Amino acid sequence: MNDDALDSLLSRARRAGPRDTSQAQYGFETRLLARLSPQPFAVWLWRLAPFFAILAIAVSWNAWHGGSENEYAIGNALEENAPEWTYIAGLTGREL
Amino acid sequence: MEPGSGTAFALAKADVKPWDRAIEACMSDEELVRSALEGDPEAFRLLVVRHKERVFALASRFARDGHALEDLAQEIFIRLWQSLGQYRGDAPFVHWLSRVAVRVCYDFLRRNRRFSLFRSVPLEEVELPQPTSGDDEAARERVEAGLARLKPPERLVLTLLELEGMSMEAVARATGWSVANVKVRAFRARNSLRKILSDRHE
Repeated sequence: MNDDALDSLLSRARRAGPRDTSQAQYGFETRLLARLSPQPFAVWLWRLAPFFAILAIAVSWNAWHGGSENEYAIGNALEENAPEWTYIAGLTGREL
Repeated sequence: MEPGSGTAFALAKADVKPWDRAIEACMSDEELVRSALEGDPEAFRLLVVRHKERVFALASRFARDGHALEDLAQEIFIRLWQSLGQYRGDAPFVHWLSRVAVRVCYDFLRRNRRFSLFRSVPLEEVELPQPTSGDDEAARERVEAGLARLKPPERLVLTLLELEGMSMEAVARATGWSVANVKVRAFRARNSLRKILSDRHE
């Protein structure tokens, strides 16, 4: 390709102008200003909702499973230590 | 985001009455910039509406995909908003906007160079319409496919000079390079483009 052919191609490309972007331009300023505007507190709360949901599930799971294991552990420990068990029974009024 | 500082943009819903809008429409770009700097979001919105076509036209030279085009155009206006405080009003606003847009486009080209569609696919495999004598759009497609294979500075310079019709001095002002530098890059870019297009069709 010589200089003349390149110049001719470039001039035709320039004459064609840029591609049609009218579809992309529609409502552009609204989207742009929404991006520039600060996020309200409620929006952040909604965005954090999945995190809080996972946290709630984790706490519930731990309370359900971890809690019962603790109770068994305390029960066993108390049964092995009869004097303390007696003391607790005395305080609570429960029969041995 | 506050212009020039990057803090949040206080976008209170301004109660703009029709006659206020009419007054704004008569305001110059410089007056709108001043209003935007004083915290009037409507003034900035009007600047965007006024100049978005120009910005999209330039951005579409570099971003072909619709999402990439939207992102690039948004990036240009966000950079404009952030640096609005630096505009002194000694040159027309359009020149300043053009400089911001060109620099954002150049950053975009450098960032996306390795992901460019036309660079990753050999030009021989790219389906391009053969330009006939009257088919300007096919010529544009062919030129853009060739340009996409150039290095970012070469692509930028040739796009601005040959497709946007800017002068050497205007390109130098917009890019921040010297006129001599622009000339050298344009010369190299033309040679590279000629070679790319020749390899494809000769």
